[in-house]
Amino acid sequence: MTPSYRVTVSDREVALPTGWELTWLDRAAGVARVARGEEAHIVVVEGSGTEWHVTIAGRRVPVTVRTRREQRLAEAEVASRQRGGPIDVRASLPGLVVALGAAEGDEVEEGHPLLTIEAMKMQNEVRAPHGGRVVHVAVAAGQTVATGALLLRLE
Amino acid sequence: MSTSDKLARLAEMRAQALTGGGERRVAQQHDRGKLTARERLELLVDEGSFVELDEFVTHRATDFGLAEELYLGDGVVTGYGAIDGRKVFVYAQDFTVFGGSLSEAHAEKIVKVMDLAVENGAPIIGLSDSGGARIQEGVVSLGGYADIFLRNTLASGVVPQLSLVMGPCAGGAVYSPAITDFTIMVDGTSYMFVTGPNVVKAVTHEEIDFEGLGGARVHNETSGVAQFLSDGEPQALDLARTLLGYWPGNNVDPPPRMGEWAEPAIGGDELDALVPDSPQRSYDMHRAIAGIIDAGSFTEVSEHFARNIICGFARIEGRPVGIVAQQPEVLAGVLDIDSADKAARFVRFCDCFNIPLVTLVDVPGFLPGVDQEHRGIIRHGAKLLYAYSEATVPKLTVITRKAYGGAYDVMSSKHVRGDLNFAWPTAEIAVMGVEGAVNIIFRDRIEAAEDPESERARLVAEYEERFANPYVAAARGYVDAVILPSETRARLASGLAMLEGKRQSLPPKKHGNIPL
Amino acid sequence: MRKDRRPAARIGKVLVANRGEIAIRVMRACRELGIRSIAVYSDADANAPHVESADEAQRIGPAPATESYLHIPNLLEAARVSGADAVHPGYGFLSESAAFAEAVEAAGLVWIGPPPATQRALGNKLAARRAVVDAGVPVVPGLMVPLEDGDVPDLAEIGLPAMLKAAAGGGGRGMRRIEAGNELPAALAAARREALAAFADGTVYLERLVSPARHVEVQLLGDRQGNLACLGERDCSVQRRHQKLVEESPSPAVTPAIREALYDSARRVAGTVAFDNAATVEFLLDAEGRHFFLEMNTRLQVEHGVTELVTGLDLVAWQIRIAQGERLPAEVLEPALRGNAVEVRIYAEDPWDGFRPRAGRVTTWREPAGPGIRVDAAVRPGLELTPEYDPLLGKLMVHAVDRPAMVARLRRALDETLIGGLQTDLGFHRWLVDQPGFATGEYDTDLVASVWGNGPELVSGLADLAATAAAEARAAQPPPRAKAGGDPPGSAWAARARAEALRQ
Repeated sequence: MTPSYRVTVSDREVALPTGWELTWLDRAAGVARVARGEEAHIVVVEGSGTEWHVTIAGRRVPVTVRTRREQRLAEAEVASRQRGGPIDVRASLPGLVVALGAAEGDEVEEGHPLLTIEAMKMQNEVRAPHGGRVVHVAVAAGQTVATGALLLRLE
Repeated sequence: MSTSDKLARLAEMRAQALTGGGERRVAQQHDRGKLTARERLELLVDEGSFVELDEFVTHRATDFGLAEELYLGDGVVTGYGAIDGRKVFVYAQDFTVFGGSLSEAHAEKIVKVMDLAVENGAPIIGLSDSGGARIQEGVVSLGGYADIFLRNTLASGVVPQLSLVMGPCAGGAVYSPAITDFTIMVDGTSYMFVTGPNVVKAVTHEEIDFEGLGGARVHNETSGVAQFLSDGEPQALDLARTLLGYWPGNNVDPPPRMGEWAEPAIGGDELDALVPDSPQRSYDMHRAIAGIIDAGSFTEVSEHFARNIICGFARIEGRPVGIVAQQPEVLAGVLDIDSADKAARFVRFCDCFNIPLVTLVDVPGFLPGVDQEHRGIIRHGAKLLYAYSEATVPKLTVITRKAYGGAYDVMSSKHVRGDLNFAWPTAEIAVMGVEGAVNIIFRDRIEAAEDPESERARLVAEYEERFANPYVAAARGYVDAVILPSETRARLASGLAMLEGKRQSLPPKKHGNIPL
Repeated sequence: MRKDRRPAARIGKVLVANRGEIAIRVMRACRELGIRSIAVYSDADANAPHVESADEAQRIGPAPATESYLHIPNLLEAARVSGADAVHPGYGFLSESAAFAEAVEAAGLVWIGPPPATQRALGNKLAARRAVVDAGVPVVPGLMVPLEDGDVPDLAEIGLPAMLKAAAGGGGRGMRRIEAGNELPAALAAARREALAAFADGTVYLERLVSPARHVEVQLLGDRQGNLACLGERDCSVQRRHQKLVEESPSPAVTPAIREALYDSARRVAGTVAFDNAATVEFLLDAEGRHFFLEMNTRLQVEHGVTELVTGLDLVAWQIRIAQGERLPAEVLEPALRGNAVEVRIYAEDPWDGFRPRAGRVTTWREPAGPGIRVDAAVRPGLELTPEYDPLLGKLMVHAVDRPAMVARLRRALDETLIGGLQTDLGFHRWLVDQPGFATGEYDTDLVASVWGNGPELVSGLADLAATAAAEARAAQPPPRAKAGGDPPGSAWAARARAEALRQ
């Protein structure tokens, strides 16, 4: 059963017109003819899954094609991202803070090494669980911390 | 009544069944940030594939005036559908009807689809959103739960069972998710506990709220009861679809192989340079994983629990595999109670469903300490050893750096019937770390030396040269090959193909007695 | 015209000190003349199309231009190692570097281009202005001397709006427009900074902004015997950020009388230096048909192909012949100009986003063909655009019997051109060809800024089409996840293994 799609062109939702038919002229190169009755256009279509680019008359536009489920998922992801509050990054093991990888006010990306804790004779990197801004650094290099101790706060 | 009237009546009843507990309750559900049972199922299964069963079932209670309050479906939507074209059986509790509470009829509906699933060899997915037993039905409701739990147990290892907790799941009800293979919880709107905050406060005087006692984070980070944490319901349902993509529908079929795949996200050169020169420096094992598996194919399990070990599903050249790997960045990658539990269950799931195991080893040993010893690291660690020993799925192991002591044996070594064991040139397979070994073996010589420190240093260097490498083990065939990190993927892919028809059995027995 | 005393030389091997389409252009001319060509490439261009087009190739350094295509010692070394006896610099890069030209000649090689002395004389725009005024050539009203900080020029005399320009520069950099006197100090500082950064010379002068105006240039070809040919004019008014996008010949705004005047001025300009080989003299044409000297470019230009189409001459081949000491024959000195030709440049940039350059990979590249079409490009599908260099993908040229036929042919060619993988100017050119102003030939240097602006909004019809195409493409695509499953194990052995495992 052909699924119904939600399509946005350049970030604006478009209702799918009916009657158009696509014939591939060169699948590998993405060249296709889109025709309805007498009207026909040659376009270049690139992409897969939900993200596409269509070039018509030299203009390349981004097109998102989503199933209902993917649409719901995308909306949910946006909502989740907006909801995020400050995150406390805590020590998961006792040890000695040997190096700080970020300072108050820094913008960091997900996975950025925030600080290094030495424990079990190993240097353990504590990474940012997601991107954000460091709003508070609670420890300094040379300080010992216990499990659960607050290390820093990310927003 | 004419025939067309009868047809019309059916249409009416169908429409009524769709309303669940009524508009007001549906609105309340939405206000809480939750979807209705049918909305969830729509997002879960392929569009248009859901076939509902028992939509007209109603409860049989007569006490407490319930005979007047009948809802079609009785608070649970059950049936079957397809996920990516593959058959699944599903049930979704409907919080808008009697708070999703379980009655005799409600339980019978669930039991029916579970039986169908087992007979037809397809996974069972349960969406929990229920206030618990329907108190008005009394012990009949408890019987209903037991019927479900029995089937969870009988189905365990026959078909994959996945639970999504999308609302309350309390009291006895929690045992179903606990017995199923994996539990996904939705952050902020779901909770699980055996005894709620009110009773806890009354009995032990501890004050805590629902979220703090049994919210999604608690179970993902602290108790290990849930293996997945989703930001929202659509994400949880999408995750369920993703997970099913790795598993076969039953214990006879092979896991589904993808026809296309992307090359690893991390290239060979980067992988060769991953392990730092200094044994004191850690590295992120996720990068090693990324250098081996098909790009974008990793789904981590119990990401927030026992982070010193990584478990997850991935694909290598389209073939699903179960990955177990130490994370040197956390607790130096030692094995402890929680990580042993986490990995053991994961290994056994993969063994149930013919999913090959790929183990990456960088383990310095077990976590020392009174707490660990008194809480039973011995029997918990034994779980993992047992799980690996018992598993007959293809087992491929790669030692990336340390493999010390008993932990070396535990982590899918050749001795526990590892099929292919590899070591990187940076591997150190030994009884213990160099420093410790030298201090023990050469204690007398060091003490007697003129300059004990430099003598120790010299002996450490010598020992390191001789023993802190994979070649001693390789000389005995304990590892099949010493390989470059950049060669790992190719060796694993070829190994998986070679082991596709592996035939290995266990001595006949009712079942073993795994330390618990 | 002074007579050149350099001896004639037979060229056997040319090192092409450039990349991309112009390198291929030069190599094609060499091949037709039976001359071997040597390509040079940086690490980023090791697999570039121009490398394949040559007879030999020499590596000249890592990706950054300053360490490769602009690195004189590496280029000379490559010439030495490969045994080249001549160097063609193409356009851009070191084509107008007197230092490079002199180094080439000092190394005993033939420089295929105007003599270094010419470049020295005309390199500084201010000096050139003074020189040509003395030769009786009209210039844009303005200063003849550098503008110093604190100067208060006579803006009423010069005229407003006015333009600050870098004396050492070109390509639109080091330029600032001022509408009123109070804007001068800030604009001057900005222009000076930019000029210093781009040309290592912060000298700036001031001239009137002639507007509306057309940019018209005359192609010159001169031999060493002192003969000079004017090969028609090109109208390059369609520009963005003072860089040309479209060029056509002849200019719709040039009457025979204006042409004669342009030719006369061009000859006078060339006469101020010891010129030979190929060069272009650029003018501004105002609404009244008066022309003003802008600059003389002592090299082959990007748009030279347009002149080649209307004259039927191979300018690169003539550059080589001239460098070998040949005399220009009558048919070159007095060429017959036939029909109309136009070139549209295709850059990897987004006309809907201020023509910002775009990085990426070209996935689809279909060139137009058929009567009157010429494409000079160095692109193949899969080509990754290197951010270090100019994002010119190619030049589409069209030649037809008259201007209306040329416009129709250009439209057809643009419709046949299919580019995928990144945004290019193609959409702008397709829009331009339908503009009434373009059809009548009535346009000026303001076209892009005021008529195009940021490009037309996405018409709903176009959006519908795009949506349909993508949706249909997706529906036709096989599902991303495995549709496998439910199939029993392939072999009997595996089936036994499964059965045994379950019987425990």
